[in-house]
Amino acid sequence: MTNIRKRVVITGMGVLSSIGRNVPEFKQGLLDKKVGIKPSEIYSEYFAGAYASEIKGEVDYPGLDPDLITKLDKGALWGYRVGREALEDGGLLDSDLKKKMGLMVGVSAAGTEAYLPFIMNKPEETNLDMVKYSGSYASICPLVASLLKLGGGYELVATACTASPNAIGLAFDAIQNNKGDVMMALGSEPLYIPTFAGFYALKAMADGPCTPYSNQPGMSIGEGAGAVIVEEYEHAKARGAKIYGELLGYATSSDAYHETAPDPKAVGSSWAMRTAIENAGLKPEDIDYVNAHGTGTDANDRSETLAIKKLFGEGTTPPISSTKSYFGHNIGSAGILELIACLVTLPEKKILPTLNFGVARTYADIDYVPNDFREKDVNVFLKNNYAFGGNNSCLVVSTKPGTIKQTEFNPQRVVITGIGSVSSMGTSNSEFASGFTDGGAIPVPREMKVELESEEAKQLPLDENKMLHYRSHMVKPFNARKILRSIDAKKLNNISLYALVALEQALKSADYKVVKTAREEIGMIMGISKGPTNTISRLCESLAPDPNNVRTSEFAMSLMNSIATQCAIAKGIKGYNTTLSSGVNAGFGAVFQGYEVIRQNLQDYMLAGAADEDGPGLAPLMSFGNEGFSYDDTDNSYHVYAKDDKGYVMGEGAACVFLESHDNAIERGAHIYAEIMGYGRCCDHIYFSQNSTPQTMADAINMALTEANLSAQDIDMVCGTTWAGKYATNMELNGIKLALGDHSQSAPLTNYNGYFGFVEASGGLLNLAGVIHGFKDNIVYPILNTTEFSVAGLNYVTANALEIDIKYALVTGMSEGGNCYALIIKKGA
Amino acid sequence: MQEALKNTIDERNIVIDEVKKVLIERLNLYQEPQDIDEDTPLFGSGLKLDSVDATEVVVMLDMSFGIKVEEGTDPSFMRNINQLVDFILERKRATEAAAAEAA
Amino acid sequence: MNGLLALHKQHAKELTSVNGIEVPKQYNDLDKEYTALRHNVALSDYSHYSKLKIEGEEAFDVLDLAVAGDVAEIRDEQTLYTVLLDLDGSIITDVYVMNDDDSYVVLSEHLDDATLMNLFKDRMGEFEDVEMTSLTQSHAIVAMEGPYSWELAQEIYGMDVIGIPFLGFIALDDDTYIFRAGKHGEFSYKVILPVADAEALWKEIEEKGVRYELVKAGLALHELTRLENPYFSPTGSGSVSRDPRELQLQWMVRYDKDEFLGRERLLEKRDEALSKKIIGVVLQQEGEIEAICVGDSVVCGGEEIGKLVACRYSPSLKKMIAQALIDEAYAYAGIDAYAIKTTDGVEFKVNTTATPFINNHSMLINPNENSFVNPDKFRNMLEQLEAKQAEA
Repeated sequence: MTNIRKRVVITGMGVLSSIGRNVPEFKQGLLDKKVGIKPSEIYSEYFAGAYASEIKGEVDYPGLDPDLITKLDKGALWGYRVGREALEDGGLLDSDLKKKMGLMVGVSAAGTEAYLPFIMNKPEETNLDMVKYSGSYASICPLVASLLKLGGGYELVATACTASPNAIGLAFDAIQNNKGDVMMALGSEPLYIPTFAGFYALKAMADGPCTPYSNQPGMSIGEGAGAVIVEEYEHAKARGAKIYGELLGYATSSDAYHETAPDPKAVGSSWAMRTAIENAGLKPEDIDYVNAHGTGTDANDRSETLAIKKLFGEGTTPPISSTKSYFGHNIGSAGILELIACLVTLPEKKILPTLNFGVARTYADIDYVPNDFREKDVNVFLKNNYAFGGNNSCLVVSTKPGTIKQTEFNPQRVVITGIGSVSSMGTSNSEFASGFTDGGAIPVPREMKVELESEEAKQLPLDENKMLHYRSHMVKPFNARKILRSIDAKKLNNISLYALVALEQALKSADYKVVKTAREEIGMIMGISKGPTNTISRLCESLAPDPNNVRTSEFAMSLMNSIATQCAIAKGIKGYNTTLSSGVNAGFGAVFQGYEVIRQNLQDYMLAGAADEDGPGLAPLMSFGNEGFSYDDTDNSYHVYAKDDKGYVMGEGAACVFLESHDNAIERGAHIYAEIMGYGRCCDHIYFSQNSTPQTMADAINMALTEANLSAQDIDMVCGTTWAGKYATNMELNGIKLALGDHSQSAPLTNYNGYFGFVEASGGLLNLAGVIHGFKDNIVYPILNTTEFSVAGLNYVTANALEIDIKYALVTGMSEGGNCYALIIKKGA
Repeated sequence: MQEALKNTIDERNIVIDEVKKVLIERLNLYQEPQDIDEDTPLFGSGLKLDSVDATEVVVMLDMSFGIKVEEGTDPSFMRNINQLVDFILERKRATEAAAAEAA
Repeated sequence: MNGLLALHKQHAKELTSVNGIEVPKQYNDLDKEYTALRHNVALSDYSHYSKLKIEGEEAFDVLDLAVAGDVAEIRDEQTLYTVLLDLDGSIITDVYVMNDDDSYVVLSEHLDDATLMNLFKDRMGEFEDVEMTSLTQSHAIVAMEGPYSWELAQEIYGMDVIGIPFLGFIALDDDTYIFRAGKHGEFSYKVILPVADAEALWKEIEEKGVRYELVKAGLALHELTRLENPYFSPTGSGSVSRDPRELQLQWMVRYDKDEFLGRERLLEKRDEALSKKIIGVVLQQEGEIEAICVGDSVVCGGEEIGKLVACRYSPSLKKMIAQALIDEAYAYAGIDAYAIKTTDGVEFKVNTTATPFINNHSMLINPNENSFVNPDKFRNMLEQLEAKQAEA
């Protein structure tokens, strides 16, 4: 059976940039060749000769309560502003379509603003409201979804400088799989001191406005935001939408080369372009123009020039130009702003020039469209972006929707043929499995000194020495070399180490080896919540008092994408690569996206994982105001779903699954653990309220059932994964009840968090791993510790393992921001 | 050993120890100070530092020794520990000489 | 006799047999060879290196046990430069370990094929899934070396050559590698290839090398270059010490690795007081002085504090340079209070110094910017900088 890929078009746009605060202004700024890169007042205080493209002065936020504005960080506010403009532009601001509209966000330095006072050693400036609302990395997603009332669920792509184009790619894939007709993709990147300091100390900055490919090398940093409405073509036409362009295809890849430097051989970047063009059903000669990443640094400009020459052949390269010469490098929002810049100028038969072009550098010997607009009728163009760690991304876009032949693909059945985990239950599949029969790991006693004088601190059960005692599920020390052998584990931080150990096991259980001749046939996606917290805190500690002393060696490793890129480097995995830092249960997002990639037959193999490391000690205090953290110092204090909810016990670890097509698995004789039948994702857009809306979870489950072509009665077991607290518990349990109806009274329901603790990003996948391990003997392991449950009328598995025939299992979960996930898997043969 | 020689060696030793200490701390090296010989190369082989680490060495010189490395300085002072130490001592002497002249 | 050797027999000044393999000892005048290596391009035949391919699931484990460095540090197309130790923790030889997609190629110039093979075989005992093949006879090594060797190599093999980092390599196919590593501080590309292909490559390099003023060179040259840029040398410093600490080669071993041959003694010795250490000394006066030889004393205030273990005249510095094994308390660079005392009792004042002794010309060249043959580009970064300043 062959599917014709849907046409996906762009039907709304919004921008915020130094050269324009809405799309018409932005367009005029481009046509006027306005350079928004100026001496920076804010950063000149710390850094000599600081230049940046900045959003200066007040920014208005139409439709927002002024009181609320003070509580949110700029990332969320700008995201709201450009998102709103895009909706308005697309005639969707008051549309019912928003209820099912998904949101794909791309950012790099998110969640920074609330903590700046701590970082810069000015705690008196702390805005507690901001910490509460905008204090987590992913908070931009629920905030923008709530403020714009988007209910289709969200993901946060955190691949640094490729984040926003990659987010557009996710929206494209979701539409291909009927997960929505209209989606929003946005990038929002206010500039904060850690990013500025990092690039400055790396000596990557230009002395003035950057001059890509010419004169002195160096980049200019910038800030801004952009949003696009991504819509299925027929849907857009039917509602008479304005259409700006067609997204023909995209690709991402990994250099698998170095933490910061691009591969000088430009293998990954040229492969991303080639694959994106192939995915769009085209050939290099069909490309009329390339909007380059073009940062202006030697490393980028050189390797990108080489990549383009390798792809198109010397002497036959199309015109390329860098829009960063206008408004600098906007990091997470760079790609989306550059795409919009193309979409407002190319239809007028004008190619954006590379501004500030002087004497070409020695290696710069292709057509960079220097300084003046080029009159040319461009239909198909590429939008390149590259990031630290070797994340490459390429979008293939047409300015004339409907003119390029649609591509076809054979939708693949997607199976899980490998699995791995790291947790307090151990570092191998056998330890993990026996952990279930042994009744889980015992959380270890922890303590920390609390010397705060606040009201909240007085509520804490401190002992006479002001010590706070609590428990956590820690990964026991292990000999990484025994498992990873030829990989240098000593260089890795804990979170990357855990991720890599889980990945190694997944590869091993899949009986798959990444070989040199086929590095591009396998990709990976990592789900992240708090990320490399210890590295982040070392980086932040080095910023005060003088941010010139920033620890550059921690800079790249503090980024959320560093875990996936470190894994890719260690194993030589060069295919599709992304990081979804959507918060709690981000691992689900990773599996969903891995599934989409295999389903569309874009890669042969995908690894989807998630990882978490125990933080530098503040975590128990960060939970102030959150219901949920358990201060109980006993072995069995974690009572999931309990009537008398004592809160959660934290855990750390990682999980990973190996995905491939069913046909492929059969052909190579792989053992199939499970088949992915379908998934659903929705969000409740009520971030400012703590009232659950179980219907949101029910919607996600129904979406998964629809895709799986199953009914509630077909579900043989349910595994929930929420951690604690009324909000999450109600949402999950009542959502299951709503979706499964009467069947929820008989379908066995479990939740494995009690075995290994609440592991933020990885918890969902660790539960999934538990379900799959249970498949072997048709066993559902019991919920630990809990005897009385908060929601009645469900068939909880307690006390003893239950032996039943299992065919289909439903795994549910949610994020702290109200994103609901549902996944249906079928037991393997 | 003559007094003057002893002083020269002591002065050098203090700088060597400090350089090793801060390199280990800042670059998360696995070595103990005594495991790093003074002729150990910093880049390529030896300590196997890379271009990112080079910026850390520059920051280290500023933070620990008050030495600002100007753009365009011949980077060969970073070739190994000994050359780094030579560079620090040279700069120190130049500063002392300038101060003496000013006074 | 293979074609390349026949060619050498015809053209080289002198041949020598190392590890049982005949290679050129000298092609031209040493001065000419030296200038080419330090300023242009020299072409050499290093086929005398013993070459061992180690493959199989447990190849890593065998190597991990055998060498003192950490093989886990290297990924595909990267090389570890490390040492093999004996049970006493003393260095047997230095080796290159190249990771070719989790197969390994080991190169050693100081041990013959059988000895190298046996050293690894001794360590193979408990492993089954390992296969070792000698490439010593089947493969030649043709080397392009010198500040512009990258440019010549690029002409032959394409632009990816420039992207090869130090100690990196490209596997052209299962049988041919372009390996960037040298023991003299200049750019160096060793092409490891089947013997049958070596003659043609040699000729191609010779031909294409003309405009780089390429000079063919032999092994004798390196007795000098390796003193200017000290490396492990069994006949130089290695003749008086095989102790990584005394040789300042601790960076070639990993104390924190779980298990490898010689580790126990190495760790014991690490905690013992060090009595002597190799350091570099350079004469304060210019010129070649024949009276200075290996074995001469190094003195301080009339007292002997050490002995010379290697010495030569450095054309780059125009001074005599030497390595000396010095009492630890005196073994510091940057000291001007010592002298070399020759057998006739004459004293020559020296400075102790960091090694390498010389600033290699290759450090001034950025392959991405400079060129020897392209008149539109500057030959090195210094010229580039001066031009820029003149412009300003």
